[in-house]
Amino acid sequence: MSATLPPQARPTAGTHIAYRDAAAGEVALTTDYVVVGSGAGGAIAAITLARAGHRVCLVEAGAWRMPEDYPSSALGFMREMMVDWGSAVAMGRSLKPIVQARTMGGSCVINSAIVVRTPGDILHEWRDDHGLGDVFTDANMGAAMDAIESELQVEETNHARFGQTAQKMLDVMAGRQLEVHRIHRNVKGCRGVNQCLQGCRNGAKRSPNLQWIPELLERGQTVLSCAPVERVRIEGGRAVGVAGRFVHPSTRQRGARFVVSAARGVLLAASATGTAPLLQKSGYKHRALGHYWRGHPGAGTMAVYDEPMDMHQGPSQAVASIHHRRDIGIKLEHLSLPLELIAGRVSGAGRGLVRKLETARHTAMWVTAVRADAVGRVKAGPFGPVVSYKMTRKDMERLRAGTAMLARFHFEAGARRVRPGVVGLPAEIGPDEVGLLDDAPLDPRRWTCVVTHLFGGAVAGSDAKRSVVGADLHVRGVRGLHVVDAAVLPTTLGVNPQHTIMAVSKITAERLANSAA
Amino acid sequence: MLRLWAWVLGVIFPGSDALPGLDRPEVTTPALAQIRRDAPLLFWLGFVGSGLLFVVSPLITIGWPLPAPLLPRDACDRHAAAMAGHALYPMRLAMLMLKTVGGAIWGGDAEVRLRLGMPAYPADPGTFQTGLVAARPAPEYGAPAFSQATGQTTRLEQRVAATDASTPPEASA
Repeated sequence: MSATLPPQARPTAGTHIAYRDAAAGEVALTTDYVVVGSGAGGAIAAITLARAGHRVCLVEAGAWRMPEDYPSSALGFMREMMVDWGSAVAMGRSLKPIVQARTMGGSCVINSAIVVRTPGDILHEWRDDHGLGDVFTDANMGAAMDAIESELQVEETNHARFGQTAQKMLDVMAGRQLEVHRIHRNVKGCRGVNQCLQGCRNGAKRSPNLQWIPELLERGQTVLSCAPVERVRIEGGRAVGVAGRFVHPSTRQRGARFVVSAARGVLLAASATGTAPLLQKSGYKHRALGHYWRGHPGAGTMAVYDEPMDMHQGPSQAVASIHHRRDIGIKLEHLSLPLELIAGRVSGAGRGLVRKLETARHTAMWVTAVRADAVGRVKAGPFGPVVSYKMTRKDMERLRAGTAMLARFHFEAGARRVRPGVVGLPAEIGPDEVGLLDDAPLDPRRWTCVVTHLFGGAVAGSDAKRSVVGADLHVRGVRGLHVVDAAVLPTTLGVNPQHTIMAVSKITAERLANSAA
Repeated sequence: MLRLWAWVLGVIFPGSDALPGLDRPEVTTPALAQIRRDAPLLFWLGFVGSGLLFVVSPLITIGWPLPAPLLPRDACDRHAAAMAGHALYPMRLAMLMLKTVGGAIWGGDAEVRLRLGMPAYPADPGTFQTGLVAARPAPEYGAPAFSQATGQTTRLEQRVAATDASTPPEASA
């Protein structure tokens, strides 16, 4: 199936309906398939079905922004790209921010574009423990990932654009003969301007809004933006469409209603925090709905070097290590954040804070991402999804181990001081004080953690009581309704999930397209 | 009230000899006005609540029974630092909220970036697409050093297998 149509074969242009004012009246559409959400899962499902000749309507809650629309500042990123200005949190003993976008292309627009193939042990776990072996086999997933990597022009991060922070991590870990690698990303033509979080105004990040979703329009399909779906319409045990109301992305003014009727089915890809609540609000009931919510909580370890580290140069992430993915359960990554976000994370306040910020250009940050055991829950709340998630003691021990490891690596790489970022420890430590980190408190309230890579809420499996969807990702008890996003993943991965989500969604959409044919 | 919150941020991010801070009302107040206008209500209420806690809490941070705006300069600075590392989690959370907003304003300020030798940001466009959108080809410059297509890069699953084979379960750095 070709990725693009030859010019002479291009059909009539499709339809993009952005925010409509209430006075414009209801928007009513009919299609074969409606796909809710345009991130990793939704975008590839929509384009797969469209390429197979089906009518598709893609409905996205956020606005459609292209590189010329992307913000440069962190305030702009919070305002225009993030769910509720980035204020979504997972609640446990501590509040942990959840990194999630609301924009056409989903979190693929704001992430570091990291492409990691699903580890083999994960697929085996899905097969052995969750009954998913017939569909998501090594061969099927491999073929899907090969195709995705080719289309998205996945490449290893260009060494010339690395940045000092990434190079230091690569050098010190390679010197210790630990597994460390240059990250593969769906990025082409990176200029190393460290605007990955804001979307990459240079257009180097090949997120779905740049090619797959415009291709939907080329193929004559329909895209709705600024269109949060309020409920899935289920009639007589069958999903017949979706309904919602346009919301202006800047003023949040509620606009016209929209109703999309789907002759063949509805595919949900509203994310691990959106899909389960949407099903709940639509009246769907299942004992496992909202449960088995998981993530990769992480924390950064900052260090100060004599030479400039210049985190504002280079991609946001260029180097990672999975050396301890299985024995400890952590992934170590380089992370270069914009100055605005660094300023909010450096410890202290007042003159002491500013003294530290004077060394901003000499600061480097590496992060520990935990493949957490913790299992939480997501449910619909009055102001949006409510996520409860409590890290286990073992998870905190993993986080502590990774942080101590990174501190040692920093000193080995030449850092003068390390900022542990743990309440109860000194704000800065020297090389002879790293042992303090080995015994750091395990109370999550003393750590600054962020949860990225969200999974679950509508997990897949063969056990009808413990899984909302089966191996074909079909929602149990509702004909014509599927989930094609991270909500179906029954485990964490220990690696970045974009590629896995796309592959799972692609396989499912192809099966749907072939069965419909 | 915006001036009060701007003052709070100016205490948390004061100017120094090396760097300008948020104790410049001409910078901080308009930025807060825009945030108040654009942010969701809950976000703004969280920020205001955190600011209020900063104002009323010197008694439990440094033992001074005065609202923060009435503290001497040095005491106010100690109050801010103490709140950031306070034993009570809600205090630290409130400071994190204030620093998140303050950091976003401070780090995006052109003068701060100039003094740090970083490029200033262009203005955020504030636009979004409303019509038909054409696909964008990838930029031509910045040719990669490696390409999966040439087979010069070890596939990740091979790295995982090699790591699993060579790393005993108890291995650590």
